[in-house]
Amino acid sequence: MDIVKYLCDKQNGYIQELEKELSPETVRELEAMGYIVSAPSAHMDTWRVSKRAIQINKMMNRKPSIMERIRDFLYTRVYKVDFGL
Amino acid sequence: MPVFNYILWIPSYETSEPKILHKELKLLKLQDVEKEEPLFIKGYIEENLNIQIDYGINDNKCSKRLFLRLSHKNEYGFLTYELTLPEHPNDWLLEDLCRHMHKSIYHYIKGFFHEHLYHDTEEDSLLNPFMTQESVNWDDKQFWEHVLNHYLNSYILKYRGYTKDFSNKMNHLLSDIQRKKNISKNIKNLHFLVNISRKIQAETRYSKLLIKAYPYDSQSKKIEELKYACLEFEQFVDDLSFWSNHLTSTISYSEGHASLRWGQLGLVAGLISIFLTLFIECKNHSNATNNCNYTTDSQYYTINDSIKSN
Repeated sequence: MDIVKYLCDKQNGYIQELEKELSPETVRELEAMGYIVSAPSAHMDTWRVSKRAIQINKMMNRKPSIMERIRDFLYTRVYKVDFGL
Repeated sequence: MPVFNYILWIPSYETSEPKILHKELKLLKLQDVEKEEPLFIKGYIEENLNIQIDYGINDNKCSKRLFLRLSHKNEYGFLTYELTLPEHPNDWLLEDLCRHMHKSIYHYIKGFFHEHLYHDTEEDSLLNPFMTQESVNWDDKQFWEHVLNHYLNSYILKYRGYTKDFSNKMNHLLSDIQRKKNISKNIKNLHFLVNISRKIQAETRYSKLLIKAYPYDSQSKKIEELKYACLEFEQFVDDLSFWSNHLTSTISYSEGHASLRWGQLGLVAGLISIFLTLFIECKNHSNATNNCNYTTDSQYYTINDSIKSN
């Protein structure tokens, strides 16, 4: 599962609910990684997705631009680049 | 009235002890979920590092006050603050402070000493501050180890988490590239991951400060775990850079090779066009000469015929 996409789709919520859905250790991991920010509240702690996670999600899940498509065409059809890694 | 001790780690790379960078912090609104009431906080720090935090629940005038008195500091950036709270807290923030100091408040306090060089303020790691109600004995090595382990744990989680998440992302990108799917975009994303990873790698120096703070004569499993997590992440960054550079050079080589091929083709086409031009020119020239001779001959016959007829 892409954890960043999952967080960006959810946007915000309660820490306890997130701990139930993932696991308490995963949530601590996400806090340590700076993927979520947290705030205290009257009932239970809350969370919201951080700028870092939004930035990563935006970059990873964006659609390729026209220039990138043209370059892809050149790499695969014209230059015939071998991408066997 | 109960007294709570919060041991806050304020990492500072340039100086051994935290230095005040901002005497006053901006008003901060803490609210993630709209239906929850917001908490407003505004902080001030004195020269002796005592901290005053004015706060307001649903009130941006921050009419309530917390006073954190510095009771101890050491050369590794650990500041111990005492907070005296009433027997019967009259709001949820005070109740919360009896259990722990919320990480966002600790993060806010770090703002007095901290300048975000490598990232945005929201991208910082959220660490849970260490709290105890017992009196703090800094000569007790076991206690000191306990505090350090608390913070070491967060860094272990951070580096393990990044290695795991970024490895998944890298594998996904490489497999897409191999399948010739969104090649340019995926290569750009690899470069993006390299840049972020380098920034995160730069932050490992803070965790190394924690390792330095560990009592020299103690052997700790946590230290080994942290060193391993950092090493694992550094190796991952090397792998990531390798693939990113490898793909860039593969493309550059192919582009260069293709340019050479196109160049050779251009040269051949140029030569062919030159020879073709020469051939056509020569042919035209001979035709023109023949035409000219024919014209002269025909003129000659026409003149002769006209003389004879006369």
